[in-house]
Amino acid sequence: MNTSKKYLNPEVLARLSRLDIKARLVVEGFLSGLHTSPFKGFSQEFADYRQYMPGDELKRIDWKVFGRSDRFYIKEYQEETNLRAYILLDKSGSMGYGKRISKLEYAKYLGASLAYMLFKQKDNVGIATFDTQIREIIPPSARRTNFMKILRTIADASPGGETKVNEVLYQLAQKIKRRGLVIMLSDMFDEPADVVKSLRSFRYRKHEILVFQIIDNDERKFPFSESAIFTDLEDGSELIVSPGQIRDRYCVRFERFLAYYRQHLLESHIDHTVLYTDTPYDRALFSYLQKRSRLL
Amino acid sequence: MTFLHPWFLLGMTLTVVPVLIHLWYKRRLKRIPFSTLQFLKKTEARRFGWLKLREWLILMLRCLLILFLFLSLSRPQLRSRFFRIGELASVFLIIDNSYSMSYNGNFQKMINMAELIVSMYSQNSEFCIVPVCDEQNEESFWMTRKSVMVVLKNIRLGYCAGNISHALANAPSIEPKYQVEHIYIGDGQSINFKDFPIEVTTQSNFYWVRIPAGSNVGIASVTLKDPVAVAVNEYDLRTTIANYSSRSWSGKVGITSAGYYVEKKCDVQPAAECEIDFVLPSELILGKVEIFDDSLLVDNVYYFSKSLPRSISLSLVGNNPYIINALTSGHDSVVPFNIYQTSKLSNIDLRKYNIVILDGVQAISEADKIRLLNHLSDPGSGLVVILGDEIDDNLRDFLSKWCRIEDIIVPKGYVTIDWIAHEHPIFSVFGLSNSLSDVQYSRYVKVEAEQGVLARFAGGAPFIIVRDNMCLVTGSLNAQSTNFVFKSTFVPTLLRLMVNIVSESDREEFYVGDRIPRYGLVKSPSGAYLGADDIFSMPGFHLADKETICVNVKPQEGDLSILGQERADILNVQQIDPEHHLVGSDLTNFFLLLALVALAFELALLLIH
Repeated sequence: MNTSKKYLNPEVLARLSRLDIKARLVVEGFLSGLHTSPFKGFSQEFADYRQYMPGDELKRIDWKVFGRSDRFYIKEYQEETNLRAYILLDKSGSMGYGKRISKLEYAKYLGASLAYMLFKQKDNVGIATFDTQIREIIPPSARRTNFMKILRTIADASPGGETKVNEVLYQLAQKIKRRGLVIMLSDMFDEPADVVKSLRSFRYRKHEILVFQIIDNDERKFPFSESAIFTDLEDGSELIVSPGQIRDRYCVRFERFLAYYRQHLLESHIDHTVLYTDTPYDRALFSYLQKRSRLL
Repeated sequence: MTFLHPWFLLGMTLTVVPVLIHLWYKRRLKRIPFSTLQFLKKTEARRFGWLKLREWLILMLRCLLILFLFLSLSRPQLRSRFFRIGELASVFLIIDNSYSMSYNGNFQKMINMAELIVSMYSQNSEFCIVPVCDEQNEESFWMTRKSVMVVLKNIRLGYCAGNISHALANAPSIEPKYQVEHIYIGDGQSINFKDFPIEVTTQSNFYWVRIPAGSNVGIASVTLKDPVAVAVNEYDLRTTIANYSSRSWSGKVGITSAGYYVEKKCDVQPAAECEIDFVLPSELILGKVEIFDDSLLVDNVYYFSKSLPRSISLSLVGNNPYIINALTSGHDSVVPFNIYQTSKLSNIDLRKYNIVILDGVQAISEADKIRLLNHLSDPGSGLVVILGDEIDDNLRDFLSKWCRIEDIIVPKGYVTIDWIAHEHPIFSVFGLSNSLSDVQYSRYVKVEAEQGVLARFAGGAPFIIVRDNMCLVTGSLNAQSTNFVFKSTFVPTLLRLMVNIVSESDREEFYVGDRIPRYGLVKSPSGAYLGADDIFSMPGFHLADKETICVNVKPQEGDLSILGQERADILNVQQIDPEHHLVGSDLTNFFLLLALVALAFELALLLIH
């Protein structure tokens, strides 16, 4: 595995200490794997010339240079956008679940990576952490100090409390006036219908929404064997369960839960990506880039 | 509610064991923190509700199982509304050990019942056991609960009829400490309540714990069919079988005598009697009659000893032709009498005659008086006195032992005989018919007698008095005084009268409870020796010197007719049905059943996933 690319593996990344390093390694590892950069070509500030290659758009040829040198050159610009991105990080109790890496940790690295990528592109990026309500919010900005604040906020997030995604989304919808990109990192363990409804309210306000639903494989497959007392990480309630007896019915219900989001978010033109905690980050970043490219 | 074994209640503390096991099991389970239980709850929402309920139900049932089990072991009793259960009391426990209680295990039932009742009273209560068939002694008076249990185990079935009044009267009188209660446990035959002391029920509670009496067929009597018509080689033994139950009975009656055995079928209607005659060789005078099959065994055997008067020598003082004719064999009858007629009593040697008849004798001398008394002292001899018109002081004095002579009555017209003792062997041949009612007397001697009156004139004056081997007839047996001598009933009456007063067989009817009369040591069937002051305590053949004495149970005890509700109310006797009022108050089985139900439910719940 390429040295940079290995940091796309969540477990490897988890062993590293500093979040900014983690984010940089993820992004660089991801970028080195791309054949063409999707970031360049749309800003106003000149960056460099490069020789025309077949496949480049003809409109991008600098005809003045051609006049002087009789060669086709393409002018490249430093990217510069006014994209305002909000990263919504769910830090509820359920996000603390995970054997090797918790869902929250996974979300934190992903959030930091996305923030770093946005910062690098000079996009305005902000963050909000929440459980039953918004716990911390940093408004979007392209400044480095803001990025550092975001990283600190992400680093400080620890799991606790219940999930009330829909309420939080309503609150945020009130606060975010200007349209932008909303990136949500959550397990979405709330009433699906309510959550979809509140996400739609963002859509009505012309926001673009990217939902990364972070799931642990245990939640999906319920691989436990012995009878045990299962404790809810959010409300502390307990249940004696014989997993063997209910696994099949549980899995069906869980798949139905995921399918509901998949179907209804698609209908609402909301990008929805299910990420398991052992999924490499490139998939998430790729989803982001696709979304961004559509936005610009 | 009271508990017979209250120390078992401590076991109820073990109900915490299932709770502790439950808690321990819950602690033993691994705890797995999980992101959310919402899918588990949604998946098995109803199921988890049921599982939780099931878990609590099983825990509850286990606790209840232990609770009920120990409650059952502690033998809880509901307080009876009849007794002073659980309180201090001085209890007379009147135990019916009469032989009718041998029916269908009733005796053991009664003992068990007595033990149960005793155990229901307060520990410090005092008890007195009063068996209706045994003598009471001071040692067994006011005992503790523990001692009573021992005494109850030693009570044996008696062969007597049993009488509550008699038993209570014989009980030693020791002042009770607490309020007195009388509890009679038995089948409550009417005979048990004969002469019942009503004051007992006014001064204290009297309960009758009723043991159901069964049906019974018994041998009412075994008699010579006709002691007069004596055959040369054989005689008739009449057995009367009484059916005391409300069902008809059909069975066999057998007679055994020195290797001789005969049996006959017998059908008896409810509350009726039937008579079966057996013809026995004359030499067989000892044996037993048995009924097969009847539930109450004790009165199914009758031991008999019948010695027949082969020849009775008879001296008639007087010349009454009617008497002579009646006691002389005719064309179609044979009688066992040899008659010697004389005009004066002093002329005859009384030792030569079995029976002396004084017909119309007006006076006797002092010497005759002594001779007659000597004559009567021989049990094989008899005296018949037929009163005439005159009675001197000597004769009057002689007869005063049996009756008081008053006046000669000469009614206007005549007087008839309006009552005879039908059941007596003299008159039993007539059955229940008023066979002497048309007998008329124009004169008779009015006497007063307290005992032995077998026939009376209208107005109540005795006509015939029989006591032991003495018979007194208060009206003359001649045509001037009565038409009796022309009646068909005259001869049989006279013959039976004669035979009856000298018949040894009748005198040798002994019953359990009778005092041994004149014998020396008597060996009972059990092998025990009885003295002169003892009483016969069991039926069977008893040996006295060279004689065999037959002892039977009193036939009236076999009559299982019980005290009716109406009579019980009059006597203020409170009846207790043990099925509903006593046994039903024992909650042992109830709680045991609840424990089993709890166990069954728990097993069912464990099998349901």
